[in-house]
Amino acid sequence: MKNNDWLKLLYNPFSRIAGWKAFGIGAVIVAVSVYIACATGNYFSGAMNIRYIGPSATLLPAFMLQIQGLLCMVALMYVAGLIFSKGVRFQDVLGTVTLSRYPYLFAAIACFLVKDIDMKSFVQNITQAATNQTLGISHEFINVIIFGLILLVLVVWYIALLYNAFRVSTDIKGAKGIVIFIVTLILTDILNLLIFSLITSKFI
Amino acid sequence: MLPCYCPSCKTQLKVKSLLCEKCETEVSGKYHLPVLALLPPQYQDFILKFVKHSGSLKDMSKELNLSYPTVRNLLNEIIKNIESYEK
Repeated sequence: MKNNDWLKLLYNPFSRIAGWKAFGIGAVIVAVSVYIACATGNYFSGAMNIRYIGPSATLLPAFMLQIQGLLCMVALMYVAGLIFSKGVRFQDVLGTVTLSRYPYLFAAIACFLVKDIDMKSFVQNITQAATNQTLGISHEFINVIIFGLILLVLVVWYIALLYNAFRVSTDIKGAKGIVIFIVTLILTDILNLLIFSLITSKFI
Repeated sequence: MLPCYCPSCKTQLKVKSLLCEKCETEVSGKYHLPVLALLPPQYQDFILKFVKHSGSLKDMSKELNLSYPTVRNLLNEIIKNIESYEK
């Protein structure tokens, strides 16, 4: 395989894999990433969020939040495909969108960098130190900075993958495609928040 | 490959004459090129394969080693091209 082919596979594997096959591979990767993230006290929620929970994180809500986030996105992208394109198959949207989450496996692994840091008290300490002008570079501080940089790269990679998943599975391209994609992402987060608040108000 | 556009001004070419190789008869006129001949060679190749596979996008994706939606999108692009030539 040429270097170009490898690069293409990194940001657009969907020209080769889609449908149920992509869903199978993506589902395994998503499950492993949710498990690892939960072990480090984090949940994946919404379109692209990582929620810090701490030691009280458990597997059931971790999986529920991830499934909810994925299904909302798939449903909205599928509806967008039905409205603005023709011949869209549900399994293609489901498969490509699920597989596009594979950078989150690396995000989950990167969570080990900040596993032993209590984020709430860390943010408090940093804010206090910044106001008192006593901010020093600690081991924790460096880990959080590296973690942040890794996440930044992974989120950009994930959005590129997600856009390609949307473009390939729905055949909506160009400026129109970009606008619909951004609107879908925003609506996914709104829908997720609505469902989340509905569930927590009813059951918790 | 059949030239379809003028190398000088890029206007679509017309067929001026056709020749019978057996009796050397030449038919002259001003004929339109068929729509399929106007398509780029890779699209013509796709259409030939598509017909040979009885119009199965699934079989085409196996033959071309591409995913199903990618092949469907390629077909949509060819349809758009054909529609633009027909206008």
